[in-house]
Amino acid sequence: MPELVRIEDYHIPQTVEETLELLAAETKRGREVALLAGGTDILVRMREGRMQPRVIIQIEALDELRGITETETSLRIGARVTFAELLASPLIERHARVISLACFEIGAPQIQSRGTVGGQLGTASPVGDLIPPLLVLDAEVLCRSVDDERRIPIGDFVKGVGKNDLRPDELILGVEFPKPPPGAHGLWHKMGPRRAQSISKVSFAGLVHLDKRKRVALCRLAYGAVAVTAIRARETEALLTSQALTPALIREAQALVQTEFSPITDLRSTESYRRKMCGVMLRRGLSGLLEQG
Amino acid sequence: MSESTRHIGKPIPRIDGLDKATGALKYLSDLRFEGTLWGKVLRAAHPHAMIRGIDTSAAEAIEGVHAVLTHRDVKGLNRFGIAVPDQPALCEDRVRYVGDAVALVVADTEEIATRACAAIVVDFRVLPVVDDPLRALEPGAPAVHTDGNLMHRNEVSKGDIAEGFEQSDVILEHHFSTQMYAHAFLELDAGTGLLDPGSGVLTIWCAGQYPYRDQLQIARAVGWDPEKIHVIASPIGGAFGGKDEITIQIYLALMAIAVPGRPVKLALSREESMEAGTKRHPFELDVKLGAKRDGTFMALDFEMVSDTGAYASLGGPVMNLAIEGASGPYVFPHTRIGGRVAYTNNGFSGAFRGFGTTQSCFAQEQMIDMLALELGMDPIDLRLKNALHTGDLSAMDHRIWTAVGIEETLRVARDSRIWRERRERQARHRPPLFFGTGVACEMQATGLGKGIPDFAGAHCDLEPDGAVKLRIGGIEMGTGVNTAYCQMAAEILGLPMDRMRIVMGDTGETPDSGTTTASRSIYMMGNAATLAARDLARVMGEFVASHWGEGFTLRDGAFVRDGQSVSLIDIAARASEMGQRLRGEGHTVHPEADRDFGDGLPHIMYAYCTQIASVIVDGETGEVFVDEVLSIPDCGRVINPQGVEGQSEGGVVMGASYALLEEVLMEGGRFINANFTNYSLPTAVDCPRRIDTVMVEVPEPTHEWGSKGIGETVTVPICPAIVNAIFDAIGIRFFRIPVTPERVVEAIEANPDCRAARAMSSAMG
Repeated sequence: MPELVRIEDYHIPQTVEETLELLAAETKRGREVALLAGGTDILVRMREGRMQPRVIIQIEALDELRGITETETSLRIGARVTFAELLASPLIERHARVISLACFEIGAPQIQSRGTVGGQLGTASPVGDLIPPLLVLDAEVLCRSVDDERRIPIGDFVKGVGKNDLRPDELILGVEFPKPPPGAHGLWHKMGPRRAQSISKVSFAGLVHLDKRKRVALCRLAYGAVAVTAIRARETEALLTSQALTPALIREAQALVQTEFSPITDLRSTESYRRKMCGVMLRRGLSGLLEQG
Repeated sequence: MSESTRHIGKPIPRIDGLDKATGALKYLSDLRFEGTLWGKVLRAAHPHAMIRGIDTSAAEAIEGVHAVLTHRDVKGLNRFGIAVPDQPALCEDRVRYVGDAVALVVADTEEIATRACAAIVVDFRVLPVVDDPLRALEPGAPAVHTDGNLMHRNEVSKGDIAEGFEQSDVILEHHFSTQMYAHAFLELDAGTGLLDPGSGVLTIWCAGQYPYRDQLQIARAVGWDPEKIHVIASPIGGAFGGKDEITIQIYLALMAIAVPGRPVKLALSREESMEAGTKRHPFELDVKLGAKRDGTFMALDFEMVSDTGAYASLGGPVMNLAIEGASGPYVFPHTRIGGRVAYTNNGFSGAFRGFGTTQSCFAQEQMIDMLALELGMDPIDLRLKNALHTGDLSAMDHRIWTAVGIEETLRVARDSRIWRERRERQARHRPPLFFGTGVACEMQATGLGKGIPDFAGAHCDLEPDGAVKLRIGGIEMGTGVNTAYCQMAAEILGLPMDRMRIVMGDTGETPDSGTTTASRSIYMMGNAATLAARDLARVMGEFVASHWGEGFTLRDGAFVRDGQSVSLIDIAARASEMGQRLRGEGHTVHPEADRDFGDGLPHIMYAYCTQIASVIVDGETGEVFVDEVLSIPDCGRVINPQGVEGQSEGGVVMGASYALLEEVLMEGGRFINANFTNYSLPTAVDCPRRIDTVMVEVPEPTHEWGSKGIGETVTVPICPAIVNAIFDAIGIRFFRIPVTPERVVEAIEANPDCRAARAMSSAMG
């Protein structure tokens, strides 16, 4: 039976400034703080005793962290944006369809309505389904503390199972990424123990742009659940980039990507199955592009 | 019965459907009482350990704690168990699985109770764990109980097995394994207990499949007069056998006794329910099947071992039904079917829809599929050739004189579209997708079996407002039997359905109708309800005769005599004036087999079912999609086709998930996926694309309407049908379930000559 969580303080700040000051003060006092947005991860962890914060800062009121905005060259998603909001966003659908595809398969509608982008990054789970899409979009995580502001590439931000680069006094404001070139394709494939509302055995995101001669002009590939963090398939990307996309090249990429990671066997799947699915997902995604013409 | 009916055989909407859909219906776990205290159970910290001491002083000192209870506070036997009361309510000196209860706390809030539980200090001395049933039966294995780990052994035989194999032209021999599997009922174990200090009556509101037996088990465990225990056990938000055994009723009783006058609520979490409650037994099965070249079955040898976990519960009877169902609905001249049940520290297993036959059917129906292939026969023709008929001797060697509809179900199967088009559809699929179709049959023993008291009572009351109320001790757990009972009584009395009421599963309000298990409700309680309605018609007829004169007959809900009509409302009003209650009673006893093989064997009545599944296997990802299912139960006469369809479809989904998805994982006696995050249940998109049910109606002559139960049989053959379909698709036989994508991919790789591997390698050129 897990120890009961004894919450000593519960704050509901109204602004980012106020939140940052609370974080700074708590960092000095040394109490464990949890930032609560949708609660889909934190509440489960607290109930299971895997997380025992003394202080909770509920950031639901921070409207500054809401919204999906664009500039000429980039898109920015606030940390408080939910998966459901991402799914409903025409901006995301137009410029980052790989995010829409992934969000459709995250949890059930209830989870999609509560869970947030910031929560996904804060939890930093290797099975977080939004992280592979953010990796292939070359997203940066925007963090701020009372006296500092940082932009951290997503690949450097996620550091291990449940580990990220966020400092105790920092707040995740959101993510930002350059708009992919027009005509770039988003690829997404997730496999779990069942066909909906599942935790990934393997997930795959790709951003691939073919030029008019079917040459791979841009290729970014990322996988979830095959390493301690979601991870880019750099070797396979290098193999494909600048090459003419042919069935033979796709086969070669399939074989290579199976050797690129060292997944583990756990209660959801096996090491060898995960390796093979990395290849199958990639081949099916790329073959689909070839067939689309 | 060929006469036209008003209610029987009609798709009457569920009488509780609207209230369930809107949430208006309150389950027992929903009930809230003023001044309720909260209970909590302290479970064992280890799968196997001695208890050297329990110190509750720190817990008792916590403010808001009303009682901390250990075995020292239990006045009765402190044991429960349907077949053998061997499971401690609160452990004395030893724990045998992680769900064993050591102490109870009653407190003002659930939070305080949880904290108090954590403050109880139990001095455990850890013992070696036995977590493998085969290892448990070897000499020198750690003993779970003092008289060893062999809980039960049974064997039946017919003819001369050696001779049978000698006369066989083809003999097949294989080993099979099935997994531990969870009921995963939606409504968790939760309820309230209250001791009324004035009357001394202890009331327990808690879902359970047999309230009168719960009453007895509570009384025996806590040392309380059963007459002073009132158990309310219905309605239930899902059970599937998982609420047959005691769940939390005894804890509720102990806690309520400790704080007279205060209601005490206990609600288990999903994890606690998964770890503490019963499961479906994992089985290891060795099967040897012999047949003539022409397909005639000659000999069947089965040897099984089941893992029943820490306590007996229904481990023995489950093995017995595995034995009884092992042959399937076929004639064998020579058999030997045996099984052993092992104690281990792996949780504890018990009753589960299908009850042992699920496991033996999985093996046997694959054996028959393999035999058909070996002989070059159509799998349905092979089954038809050996099908059981009324009057045949069973594989256990007793005469089956009740209705047997398996041949009719097989004929429907053979003529079905899904079966006729299977090769055409297979040819249309291209690698890596492979299409396959499989068939399987089952016979499911119904009723409790030879020598086990199997009775049911029902009351049928004329209410003061002229409506009619059925009182039945069985429970409603989602199957729709309440609607069916009302249909039967309304048919007898000529009433519209909206004049019927029903109360079920309440020791204060209903007679004892036995357990709601063993697919016995429609047969036993349906008969009792029908007899009670007929008896009420007689009682009312006599009442009418003495108050309105002779010569009235009951027609369409009123007593009529040349133009004169006395309605039930008139009768009820007159009876009320006179202070009389008009009640009909129905009592019925299950027929028994003429032979007795002990331990409840054999049964005399069986439900039969044939199911066909078509699957699409992705040879690269190993995913299996169940495309279509045709479910053909032999129902006897159908009371409510909508109810049968609901049972059939639910059974198919459950059995498909058993074949492909669900498995309770344990390591060293500890659960590792005891929540719904990691114990995956099928969602809507995991269900077969299409399920059709064709009801075969071969009337059962011993039932008032010709009906019998199908609640279990519709869950069973689907699993081997799917596994046979997977073989048909990819050419690989799976001897272990669940058939996960990982296992499929691994198997295709290990069998480069199988249909799928060859097709995929040539497709890749």
